[in-house]
Amino acid sequence: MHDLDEWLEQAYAPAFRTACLILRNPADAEEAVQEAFLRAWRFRSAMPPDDGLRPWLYRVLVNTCWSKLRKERPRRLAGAEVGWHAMEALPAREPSPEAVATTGDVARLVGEVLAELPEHLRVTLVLRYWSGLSEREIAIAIRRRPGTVKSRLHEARRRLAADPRLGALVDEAAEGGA
Amino acid sequence: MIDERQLTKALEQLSASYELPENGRQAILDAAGESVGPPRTRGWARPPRLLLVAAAVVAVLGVAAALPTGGGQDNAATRALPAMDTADEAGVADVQVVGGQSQLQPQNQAQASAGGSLKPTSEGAAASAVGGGASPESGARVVKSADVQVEVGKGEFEPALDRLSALAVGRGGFVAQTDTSEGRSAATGRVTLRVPAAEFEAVVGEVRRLGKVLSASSRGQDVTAQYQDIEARLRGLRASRDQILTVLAKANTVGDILAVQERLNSVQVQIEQLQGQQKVLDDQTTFGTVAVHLAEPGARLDRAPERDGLAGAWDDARRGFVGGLEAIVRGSGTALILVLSLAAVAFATRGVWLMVGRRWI
Repeated sequence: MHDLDEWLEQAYAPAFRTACLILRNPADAEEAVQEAFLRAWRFRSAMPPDDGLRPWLYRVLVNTCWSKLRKERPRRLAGAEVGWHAMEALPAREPSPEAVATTGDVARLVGEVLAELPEHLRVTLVLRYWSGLSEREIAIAIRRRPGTVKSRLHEARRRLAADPRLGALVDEAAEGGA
Repeated sequence: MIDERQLTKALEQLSASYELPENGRQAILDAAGESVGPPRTRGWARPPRLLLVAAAVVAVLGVAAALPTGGGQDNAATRALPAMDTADEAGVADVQVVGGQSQLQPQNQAQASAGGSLKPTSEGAAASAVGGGASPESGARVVKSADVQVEVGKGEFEPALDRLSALAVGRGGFVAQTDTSEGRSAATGRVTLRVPAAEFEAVVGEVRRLGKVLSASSRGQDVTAQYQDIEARLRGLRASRDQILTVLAKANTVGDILAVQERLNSVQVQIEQLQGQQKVLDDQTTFGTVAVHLAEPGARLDRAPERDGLAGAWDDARRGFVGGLEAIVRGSGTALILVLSLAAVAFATRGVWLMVGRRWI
């Protein structure tokens, strides 16, 4: 990859939305993605070729997201999250009315349950089912063994299914599909 | 178990509700700009850990083998000083004179406080000092320092101090600190000079001509990467600050304004911290430090001027601690090197196991 603009054209949007799903805060996600791309570009001589590029970028992105989560954790524990909710409520940050209207019930409930998942499970789940990384690529991105990734995915799916809000909806969808 | 297709579909809908930042890509391009500099190697391109550990072991053994076994201070001086010629940036030189008075009188109008700090009085000298700092052509930034012990003739201590002061000021630098003491038969002193990087080698050469050089050493620490990293981070933070200010302009309620202000303050603090670090690096690379220990014949050069009270007790404790460490290292001999080597091998083995075990690419 020799052109940052071209790279951003391809990878910025999925990276940003991945960070949004992990961090649950568009402002933090924007900062994390910016930092990730700058860091990756600074070390672009270390970029792996072809198929290795995507998990490499996500590895950097996940690291920056971890940093954000670690930094924000004491703030949340101190009860300052009200301020961050206010940040999210800013006109330039909140999802558009059209987007809210088109976001299905399942999606919104998944979002709620996702936010309650432990961070390590949330990251793994998002990388697999939104970013579309394979288990091996996720292992590279989060620096864990593929077996650990598999285990985390299983646990995350189990927790989602066990949640009464989501379990019932999924059952209804299955019935509807049948 | 949850339906994976439903989950994927739900996540797609959820992610679509997040609007892309208007200037997100442009902010990255702006922050990257020309300042990111040449690509740095790290991560997957770094050499295998085993190779690094092996290099570290070889370095430890090499240093151990190169350690002087005693005496030969003049030889050490002649070995150390040529190395300074290769460094092209700021430097520090410290000169010790053994002999007479406790006051250093500068030959110009610079102030000599109790701490002995002298600043250059001529703007031209200061300008030349800045000009002698990090060379803009190469972009390299090196922190230079040197330590020279010089023995001067009987009764030449005071003139030597004057010459040092004149030397520093004449080269566009200043005397940062002076400590002198008058013993029963001989005087000693320590003078710390801050001189422009471009004059560093010349100043050290002049210092060596003050008398008989008993020992000399120099160091050059390349901080270019650190400096560039600070610059890049500053650029990124400034871009973030601009964006936050844009958001602040759109905020309507007190809650929104307070929330954005909090984020703005956090970014501003980070910017100021980095600017502080950058300023320190600027100073260190613009001016080198030359520590000169002067002594008249018969004076003890290996000790700083005696101090009383807590300061003296602290000096004694520090010397005792260092002396004890030296005795342990000297006494352990090859055993210490062997232990260090074994530790390095164990570390390398663990690294290989982790790499293979985790199937890192």
